Amino acid sequence: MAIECFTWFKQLLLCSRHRDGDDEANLFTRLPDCLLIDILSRLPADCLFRCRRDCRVWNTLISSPYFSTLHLKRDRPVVIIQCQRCFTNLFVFRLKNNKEMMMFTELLLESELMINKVGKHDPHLRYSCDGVLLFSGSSRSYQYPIYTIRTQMWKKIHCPTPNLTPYVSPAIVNGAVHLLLGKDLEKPDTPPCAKGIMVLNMFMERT
Amino acid sequence: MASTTETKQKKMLILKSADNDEFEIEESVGVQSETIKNLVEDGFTFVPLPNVYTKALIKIIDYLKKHANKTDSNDEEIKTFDKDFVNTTFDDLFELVSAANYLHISCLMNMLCQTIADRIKDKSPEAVRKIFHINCDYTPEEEAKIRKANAQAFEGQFDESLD
Repeated sequence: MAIECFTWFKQLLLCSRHRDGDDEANLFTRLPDCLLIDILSRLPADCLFRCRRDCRVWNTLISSPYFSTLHLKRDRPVVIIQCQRCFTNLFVFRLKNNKEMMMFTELLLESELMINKVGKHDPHLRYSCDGVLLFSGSSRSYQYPIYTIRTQMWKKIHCPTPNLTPYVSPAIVNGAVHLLLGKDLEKPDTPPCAKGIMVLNMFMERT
Repeated sequence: MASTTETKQKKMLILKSADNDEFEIEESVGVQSETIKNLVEDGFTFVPLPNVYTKALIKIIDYLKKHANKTDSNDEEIKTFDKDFVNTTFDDLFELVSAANYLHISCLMNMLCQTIADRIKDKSPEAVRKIFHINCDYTPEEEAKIRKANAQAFEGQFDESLD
């Protein structure tokens, strides 16, 4: 963490050099960067997206992995429950306002994410880490939908392996999902490795 | 801890602000600041603070005095004091948070950072820029690109006020 922070600060220093010339007398330059980071890390995710638009320095700052980690530390933990009968119903429990009260919000999967609609398989929640949810679709699908709670955005990743074995947790090392590439190697869209392991780093998917 | 220091003769400290004003406070009040505490442990009783201006220092001394006498019974009173304390302009808050950072008063820093965050979270990007006195250094194309990438974050009405 310390090294990460250091290298990143160097980057920010380079950015701030441009800034100093613009307006030397302004008060903002007197606000130390560590305080700015502290303040921004307390903001909710949607607000941070707006702040990215404010200037380049803020954008660099907010996009840094160091900042993501800090922001996540301040967040409250959530519990996600997927309904066994209807996979499209995901329930998210979270603590509200640091009180003992549990809030119950429903997260519904969008219909366009029902991969292979003809099949019987709905997206199945496979793994979640730091607010990123990894789903697997039907057994013939090459797509894995990923949902980030923080940004409320969906994206899909392509994977040459047909599917993760149902009801078995994928191998996870240091927050990265490791998928064994085996079948369907004749397909043109698969990489030329015979037996490889695809590593999906959940940490990188966060921002 | 407060009771043991009270039985002895009260030790005093002198704080000197960046505008050369001097303030005398009790040692037990001053040591809530880590920076002052370290100096006191090294035997100093005169503390120059070249990064803290008089205006901020007066407010911070008030805060320290109030919080030094913290007991279970005056909990509500301190809460009201804190609420009044942060009810000021953004520029004053930045000044105070910089001073609190320099003096290493973590509870005050926490409170001020949280206050600033709470007050800017519903503001529009334009208002945030003015509050922090920053210039937009994006080209219009770049700005549109960022806006488009996170379109939903920019939906709805935002607070344009600067207070």
